[in-house]
Amino acid sequence: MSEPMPPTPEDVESSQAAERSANRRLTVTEMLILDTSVKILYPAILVLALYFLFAGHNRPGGGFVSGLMVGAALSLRFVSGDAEAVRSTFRLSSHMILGLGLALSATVALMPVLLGGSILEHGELEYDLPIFHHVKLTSTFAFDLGVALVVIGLVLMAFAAFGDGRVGDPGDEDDGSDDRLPKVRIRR
Amino acid sequence: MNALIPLPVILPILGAALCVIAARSRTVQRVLSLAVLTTNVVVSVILLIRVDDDGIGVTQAGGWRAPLGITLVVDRLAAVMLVVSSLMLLSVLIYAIGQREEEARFAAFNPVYLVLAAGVSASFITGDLFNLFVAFEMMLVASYVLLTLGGRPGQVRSGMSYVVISLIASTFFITALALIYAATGTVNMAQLSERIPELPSGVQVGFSLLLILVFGIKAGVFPLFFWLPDSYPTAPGAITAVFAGLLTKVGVYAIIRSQTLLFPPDAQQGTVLLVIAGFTMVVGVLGALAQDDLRRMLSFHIVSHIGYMIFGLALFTIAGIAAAVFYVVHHIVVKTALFLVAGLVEHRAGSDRLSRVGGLVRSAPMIAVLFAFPALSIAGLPPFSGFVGKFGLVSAGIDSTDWVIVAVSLLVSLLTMYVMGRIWSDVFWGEPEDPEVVEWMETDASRVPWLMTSATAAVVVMSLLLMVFAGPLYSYAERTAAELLHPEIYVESVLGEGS
Repeated sequence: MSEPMPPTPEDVESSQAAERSANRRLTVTEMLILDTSVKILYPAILVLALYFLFAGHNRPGGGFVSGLMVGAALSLRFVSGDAEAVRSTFRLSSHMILGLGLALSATVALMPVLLGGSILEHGELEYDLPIFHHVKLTSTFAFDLGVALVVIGLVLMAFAAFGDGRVGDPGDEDDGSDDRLPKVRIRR
Repeated sequence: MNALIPLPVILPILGAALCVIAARSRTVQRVLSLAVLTTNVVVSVILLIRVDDDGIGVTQAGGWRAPLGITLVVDRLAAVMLVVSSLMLLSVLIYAIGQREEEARFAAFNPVYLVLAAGVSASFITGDLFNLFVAFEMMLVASYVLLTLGGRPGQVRSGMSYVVISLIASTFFITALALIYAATGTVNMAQLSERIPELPSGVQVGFSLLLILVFGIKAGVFPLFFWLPDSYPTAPGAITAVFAGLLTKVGVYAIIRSQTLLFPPDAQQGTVLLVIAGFTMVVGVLGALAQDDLRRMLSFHIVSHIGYMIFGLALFTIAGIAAAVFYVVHHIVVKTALFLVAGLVEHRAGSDRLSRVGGLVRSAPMIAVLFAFPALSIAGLPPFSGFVGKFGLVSAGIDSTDWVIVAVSLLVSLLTMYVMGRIWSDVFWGEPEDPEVVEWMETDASRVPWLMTSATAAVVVMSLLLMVFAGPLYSYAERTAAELLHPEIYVESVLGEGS
């Protein structure tokens, strides 16, 4: 088993799967306990986050908590793997996740105004489905989803800003344009 | 009309989201931001007209009835603040686009600027003390980012003190909220207005002072202003203009709102506020006299003029509050104009030090003209709007026989004229004292982009319009003051109608 290697351009260009397996190989040798627990915890936390997201409209939970749970799960992967492992989790860049989430929430908040209600008012649909029995879907769910996406985007950006060797967004190292969001430049 | 009320908050947030998504295209970001802020101006003007005709507009977020849900209220004061702030935000954005500095270099500028706009609007339209806190935080978090864009060491240093002082203020605020909620069981301002008078008088006075402390830090009144002249000048040029023009005035707005609405006359802190106002005026203008840096000078000068607004409020008469409202409007426009001109001077001369720059009246006559009007106005010379505001304040002070504060305000007025005169003679007359400045002014880079000049000119024209329309505006301010001194109108429109 090889020693940890600093990421080279070849690494970056190789496929995500290969990167993931390379990361796993490093961590298995070095942090067996951590890595094994992360493997178990990561999906479990994500399921819990999903539960919170759906339960949030009238029970403890909600989009913010859900987003934080996803953030916690990501931070575990960040500890056991590295920034590369977190980066390969999402296809979208972090600012895109944040922006889409905020846009979703704002639109949901604005919709009732267009329909003649007051802002942030919510509508709901109730169904009796075969397996799930009574299902209630409210428009607050979409709002919560947006909030969760904002938090996830923010967590990813925090990792990109503080935890990564490179300064930049996870997932968009392919272009060297000047437009990446979390960027620190020193004025002349 | 009530459907329009949330728009000045929600539209900038939606715009910010879309700007984040479009982070790669500066053109899309610009079009979005300009469209959103222009819409805000239109919406605010419609709100102003409707509120003036039909009375206070109320909407309940989520459709929950007033004391339970989040109430959004637009009365005359909120409406006029919305109009002025949205106009300033739009002009400064155009200026920033013309400047091709921070706005062009940082993809985060546009979204964060829109969040700032949302926070400012939210502070004006919220009818709920806790949401005022949320709005302040929205505004502050955006301002932390904008203040330190660029990451120069000086910016980070003064950004730190700004963050620390704002956090302390926020802690006081949230503590005050908790105490008020514990004592009254509500944070809805209309309901507070009914319940606070039932509290023991000592508790009322305590709350009143606590809120003055909290909002006083934001507004930059004596002795809580110390952070202001230190942090504002380090921000990027266009941003300083918005901070100087708007953020302190949001604090002043909160003081006016909380004092008039929440507290019964015997808990209103007239005398305390008068003393604060006097010291704020004097210390601010003396601080300004001692500076060599144009933007630091103007920053101290903001402090001085916050004193005038507090003076008007502290009288708690229709004449006093009307003058204060007029003065706030005048000051936002004129101060923004002055800071934008300071940015032009810095661009043209490569420095904003009074001791280095000179002779701009010949090398850049346009900038000199743009400086002259707001400077004369802020010094209070007739016929400019500053004169109208100061005349209103002084006559209100004489009516209330508060001779000391009247004398102080007149003296400070003279000193203000001296400050403006000093800027004029150092920056615009004479010769540039520094060879570097002379050299810089011969390069092409020192040419001011037309967009910057026209945005500044637009704000200067607005300040002149304040003078032209001083009559209607002043009677509007008087109607506003009458409304503010009868909080039962506000309470009834929020709680009585229910929606």
